[in-house]
Amino acid sequence: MRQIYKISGIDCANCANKLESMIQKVDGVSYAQIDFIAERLVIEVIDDALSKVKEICSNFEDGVSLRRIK
Amino acid sequence: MKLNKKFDLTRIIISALLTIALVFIEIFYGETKLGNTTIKLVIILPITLVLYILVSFDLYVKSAKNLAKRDFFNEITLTLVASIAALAVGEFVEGLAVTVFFQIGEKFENYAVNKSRDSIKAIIDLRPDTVTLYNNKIERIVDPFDVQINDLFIVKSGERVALDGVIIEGSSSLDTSSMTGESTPRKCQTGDEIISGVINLGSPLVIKATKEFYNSTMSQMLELVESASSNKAQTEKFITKFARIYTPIVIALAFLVATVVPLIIDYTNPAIWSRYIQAAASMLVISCPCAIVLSIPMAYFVSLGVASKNNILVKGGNYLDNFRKINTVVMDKTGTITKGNFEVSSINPTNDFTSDELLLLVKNAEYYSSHPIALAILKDRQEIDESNLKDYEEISGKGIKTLYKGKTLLVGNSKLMDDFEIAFSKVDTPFTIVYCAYDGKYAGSITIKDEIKETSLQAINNFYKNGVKSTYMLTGDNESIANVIAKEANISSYESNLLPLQKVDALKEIMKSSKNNVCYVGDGINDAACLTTANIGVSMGLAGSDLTIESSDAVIMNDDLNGINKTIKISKSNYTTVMVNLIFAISVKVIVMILNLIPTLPIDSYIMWLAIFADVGVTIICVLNSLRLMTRKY
Repeated sequence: MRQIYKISGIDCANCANKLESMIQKVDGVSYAQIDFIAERLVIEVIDDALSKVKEICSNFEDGVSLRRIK
Repeated sequence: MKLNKKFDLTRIIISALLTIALVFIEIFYGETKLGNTTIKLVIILPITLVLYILVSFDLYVKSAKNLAKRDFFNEITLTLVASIAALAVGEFVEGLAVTVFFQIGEKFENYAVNKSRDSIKAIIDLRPDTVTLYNNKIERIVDPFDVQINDLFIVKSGERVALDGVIIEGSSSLDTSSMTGESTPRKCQTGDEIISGVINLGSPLVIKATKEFYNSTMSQMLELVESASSNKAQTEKFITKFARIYTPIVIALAFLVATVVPLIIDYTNPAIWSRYIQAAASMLVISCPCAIVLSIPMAYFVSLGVASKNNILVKGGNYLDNFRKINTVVMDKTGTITKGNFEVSSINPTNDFTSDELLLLVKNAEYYSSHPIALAILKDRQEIDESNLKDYEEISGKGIKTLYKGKTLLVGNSKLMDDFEIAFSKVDTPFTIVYCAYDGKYAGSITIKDEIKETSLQAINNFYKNGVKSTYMLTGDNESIANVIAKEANISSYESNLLPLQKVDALKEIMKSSKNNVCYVGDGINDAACLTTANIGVSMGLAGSDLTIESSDAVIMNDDLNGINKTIKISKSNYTTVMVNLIFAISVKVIVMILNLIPTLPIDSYIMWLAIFADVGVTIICVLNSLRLMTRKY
């Protein structure tokens, strides 16, 4: 299922790339892309893996938050 | 760790000023004796250490967290390692400077990113925050997301319409410029459909919602723009890959420089060790690819925003990049080059009739007709007095016969004139001709055609200036009309009498001979297949169907072919900016790395400063260069 999130609180563009590759490695994630400047995370994921993705994001840096927009 | 903003900024400004002061103190008085020791040790060292702790304690916390997550090669940790190395070899001020400038760079980056986010939002986000519901004649202010289909809502003067709908009550004029690019206000009245994003300029309108907020035109359009930056261009993909290998390579090199090089040169000499540990530290500082990783996506982001400000929605950085390569533009005729509706193009009265008289006669005859040609002639109806008309009769395939002020009025094609034995001169043109006779006397003819848009000729001429080698027009119309329009619009070749599927074949042929840099422009009616087939598919007008917008790579909202020229220009300047940033950032870093390793250059004490410039300085310059795209006019 393709979902779009607003992802805010990432410190730098390079960090966004790192987080993106961490999310891509999660089982059940078939596609993940973070657009640092637009603050968007586009992800194709099975429901079971979603909580893992959220966990990775909130542990990544203080103040990183996700809000579903689509 | 999030610090209080004010405290954060104050400590960085104070540290930066003191650091600069320390640099000068060190240069002029560093080696001055003070008793048994030097100023450097008694004054500079303690102040440096205090400032160092003040500036970098949060970095240490962050770095520790990263290390706990086994992330060793992030820029914070690398910066700290570099600063520790500098402190360790006795370059106190440089060690401090590394962290101070790192923090300044971070702050600047944040500022620049927020600024570009805000300004893009200002350009594209037009959505109202609230809607005034008007169900059961009671006004209630709600979130636009809460409005259901068939709900009534009020849009007052100066407000923007949030949802697509139908006007139930009221009439007014609308500013549609942000949606269609059309600058003259459009009149609207009860029963008219209304698209979201337009501004009500007159009296309040009651509107019935026909779509939910997120399905309304404006939201769809914004979704298109916002998701655009997710479609990354090749360059953006390249830098992501580059960043992943660049950092580890530089770190490995730094390790070699700090260990192997001194061992080879002279491992007994402490000065050599100090020299190369510093060189390694400076390499760690420049191992962050920030300048590239930030400034290049920012350039695309800004360019896509600028395009949408110019009424062009480009669906991604990859599509934007293709625009600068366009060498051939293929266009649909109706609605793309021409206005797509019939208009009176010339009035040719004879036998003492004036133009106005002739037009009035024709209007009276066509008054009851619903034929497209009648509609073109009858654009404004007010001058018709129905009491003058009697015995209206449509003669199928020929025209109209009616009584006007008691005398016979004939309006139609040449067959009608022949049937009633009117003496007239046949006009030879590919366009539609309406002949008119009144009271047995030939009054003249009116030519009706689908005119080319005012903007088309200029736009097509400018195509050639922007690197387009050839232009084609593909149309289902007949050869003679195609020929005239192609000449009028300065199009190099055309193909006529094409069925929709034949258009695709024709397009494929053109693509073969144009090295696949073909842009197809259509209005989306019957040409979705062409839009998908072409290397770049551009549809005209937001009014097109959802399918059209989906199958095209860019949408020109204001129906103006000049949008292609603007996008080509935006694409070119974006590409230049990206390349300049890429080459500048990489070459500065490489040069600094090489300087580090030349043993004979007396740059020992400048090594760190060079590294700081190559990191923070280059990032700031590249980001500013990207932001510059925002200020250009197209």
